[in-house]
Amino acid sequence: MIPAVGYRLWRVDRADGWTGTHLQSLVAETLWPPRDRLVAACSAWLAHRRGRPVGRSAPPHVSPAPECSCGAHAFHDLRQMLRQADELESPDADRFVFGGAVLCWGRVVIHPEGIRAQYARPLALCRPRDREVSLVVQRNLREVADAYAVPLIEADHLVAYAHEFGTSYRPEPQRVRLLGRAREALGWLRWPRRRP
Amino acid sequence: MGWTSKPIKTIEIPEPAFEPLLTPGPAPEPQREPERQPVPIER
Repeated sequence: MIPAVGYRLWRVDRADGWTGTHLQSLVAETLWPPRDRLVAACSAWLAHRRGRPVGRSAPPHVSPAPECSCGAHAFHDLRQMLRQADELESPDADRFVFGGAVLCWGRVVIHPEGIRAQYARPLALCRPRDREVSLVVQRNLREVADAYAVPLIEADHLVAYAHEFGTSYRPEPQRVRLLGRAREALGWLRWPRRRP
Repeated sequence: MGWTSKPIKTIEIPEPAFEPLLTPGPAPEPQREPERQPVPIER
């Protein structure tokens, strides 16, 4: 089975001396290890391993569990990632939001809009589409790319590059599937009628 | 980021074996200091 390809955003907080050039998840307090894979972990599972009491609503489990929201998230479609990037703004001069492609494997939970994976690793970072982007952003993006040993690629070429390493597991649209089933169900209409 | 929809299915994908992309980069070699030559003391 071929590894899964997805697209996601990270934040980089250069003002934080601890995180430095690390890619961080947008929502969770997760730092992606440079030049290595990220192993997804659910906070409930971590609490269980550390001997802390775990709430009844979140039993410990290996990440990602289908019934949980844990795991390394990535969109199926680059356009969804770019849309999310447009909605977000870098809060200040030392904090950035960068996008890129990731390779995912292990347990992978597939949703209509994206995937949640057990293991993930950045494949490439996306160059900003805005040519007027500041030199500070460009310099920081280059430093992060160097730290993770990944290339900086234009958005137009990111999908082609990522698909050299894996494939998309985007599910077939529901409408098309339903149409296919309807065709199967009505297939007998095309058959020639037997003559009596 | 977080999906609001229900999952469609769960699959298991074996670990890829791409080199050197998926292996940690080699640790940088320690820099050797140049050997110091004894300085002759002139009397």
